[in-house]
Amino acid sequence: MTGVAIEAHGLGKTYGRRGGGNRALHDCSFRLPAGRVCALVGPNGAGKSTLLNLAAGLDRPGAGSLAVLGSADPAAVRDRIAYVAQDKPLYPQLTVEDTLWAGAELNPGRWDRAIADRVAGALPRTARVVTLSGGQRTRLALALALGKRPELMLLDEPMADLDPLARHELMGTLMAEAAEHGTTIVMSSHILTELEGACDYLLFVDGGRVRLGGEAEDIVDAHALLTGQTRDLAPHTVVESRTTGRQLTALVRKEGPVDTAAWAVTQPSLEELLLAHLRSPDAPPLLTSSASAAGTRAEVASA
Amino acid sequence: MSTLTRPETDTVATTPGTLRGSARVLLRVHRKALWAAGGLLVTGIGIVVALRIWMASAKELCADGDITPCGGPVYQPSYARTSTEVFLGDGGTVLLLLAGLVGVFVAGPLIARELESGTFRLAWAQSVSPAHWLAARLAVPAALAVVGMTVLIAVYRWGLWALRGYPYSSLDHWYASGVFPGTGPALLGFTLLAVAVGALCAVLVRRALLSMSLTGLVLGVVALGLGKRRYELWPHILRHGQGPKAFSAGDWHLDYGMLTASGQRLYWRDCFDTGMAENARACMRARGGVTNFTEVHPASHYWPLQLVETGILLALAALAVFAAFRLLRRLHG
Repeated sequence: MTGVAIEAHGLGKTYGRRGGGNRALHDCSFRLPAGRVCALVGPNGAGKSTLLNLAAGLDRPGAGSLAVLGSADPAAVRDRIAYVAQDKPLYPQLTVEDTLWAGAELNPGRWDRAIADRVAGALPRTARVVTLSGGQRTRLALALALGKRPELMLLDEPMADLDPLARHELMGTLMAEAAEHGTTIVMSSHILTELEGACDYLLFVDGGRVRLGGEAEDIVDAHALLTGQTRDLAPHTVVESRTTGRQLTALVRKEGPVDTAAWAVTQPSLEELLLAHLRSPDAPPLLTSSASAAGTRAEVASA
Repeated sequence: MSTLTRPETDTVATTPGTLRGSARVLLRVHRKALWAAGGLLVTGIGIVVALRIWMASAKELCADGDITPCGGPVYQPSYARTSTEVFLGDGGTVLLLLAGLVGVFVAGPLIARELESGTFRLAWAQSVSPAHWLAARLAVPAALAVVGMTVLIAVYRWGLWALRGYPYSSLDHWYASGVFPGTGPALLGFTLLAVAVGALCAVLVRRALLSMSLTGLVLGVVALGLGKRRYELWPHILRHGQGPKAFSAGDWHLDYGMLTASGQRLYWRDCFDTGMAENARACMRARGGVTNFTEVHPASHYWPLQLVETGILLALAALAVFAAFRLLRRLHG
């Protein structure tokens, strides 16, 4: 199958003992087309890191299947995947120069020193990793990730340690590399604004499964914020509604044309959309046709 | 920009597989430990060389090492030689401890600390598979330790060699638990076992301190157990009767007793609870003992004992390595 970066079917992962274990992922199905810059968002403990860990081939799923870059075993294509874990693991006793050298040694035949150097930027090459600040560590970890010229980059909370200026600059570098090589990027965060603007694709994970998946634009378009005095919201799917006096405000998933005579219609922001879904755990999942793994029960939007 | 920055793209195209790169990175990450190990090696060699120089400089007047006039009523060995005998009498134990140290290092800083701190994900997220990652952490210390230990065994034997031929030597014999383990291939077996057990413990408990302790415990039990039961690794022989048949220099005496007329063995230890030595003899006679016998390992059993011990240690090491890979595979694929 071409054009698909990640495809998951009924993915499950439980940490700890059977029974009393912590269910990080449960019956999680989705598809991420190649070449997208995808925001993986969700609250703390939603399963974002678990999902990235599985996609990077560092862990095995407990249930279901996960195909990455066309391989049913992500570990078999680890040389084509870059993964930066949340804690940015680096050997503390090595210098920056040695770390970049190690990147070349660990990626025989793939390593591009020029890209790594460009991302590492002004990092002092003789400084030991243990002396670097959080932001500098992130920069070095990203240099290692980009230096191996991956087809898929998995970044777990990549921007958390960076000041706004460095974030802007590194995001720019990242996007430039991605655009030049058609790299698929998955970036996780629990703060959407960190990623909004950079990403054109969205996977919203909550409670161990994907609740919203697809092109960010399509997902927003599929919803509407309705304000009016009518009570009947049919045929639309209500995500969240609240009443203020006689006024009803509802975030709905459109199931046909909206009656503009009865409702004042506005488009919700992506953040409003996610917050509404977080507050309404029972709202049905929405996966656009490009994000829906073939053969799953997930609802396919007409959008 | 740093001057170290290279201007053009230098895409590295080395050998396929990442085992070599993994090993090179491992060596650089643990450069300090490598220097320390080198220091220990040089120190070990230096001690033996120094002892031999000291002995050579002692003013021994006779072939038997006497520093008083030859054939005189007094026999007095040089201080240099008695000291050397004392030091080298524990060389085997020291080498066992060194091998154990290698195992503890593999368990802690090399493997468990990476699993504990998460740096293993650095290698695994690059192009190194978990199996290659572990293989590098087994092969590099194993190769270096075997080379180092081989050198130390040779040096130790060279040191012991200088103490040969002194009739009144107080040096422990070849079979002493402080000497035997350091003089032959069994030490290499123990070194490899130490590396393997260290890796297995590290993958098993994934905590640096805990896996180091566990490795030390397991290796200590193995070393002590071998020290206690080593004599059973090869069938002993029986010396009995009078004259040279009953005794030979270099024999490792295991047990004593008397043979009955029908050749059945009666052991002294079964008669010792009767009290006095006279009574014990009477006890043996009463039970039908006729001639004294001794169970011994003659000096010629040195190599069979060494090789059997080596074989057992290598088999255990292979088992531990197999288990470590299986465990890692089950956890991470």
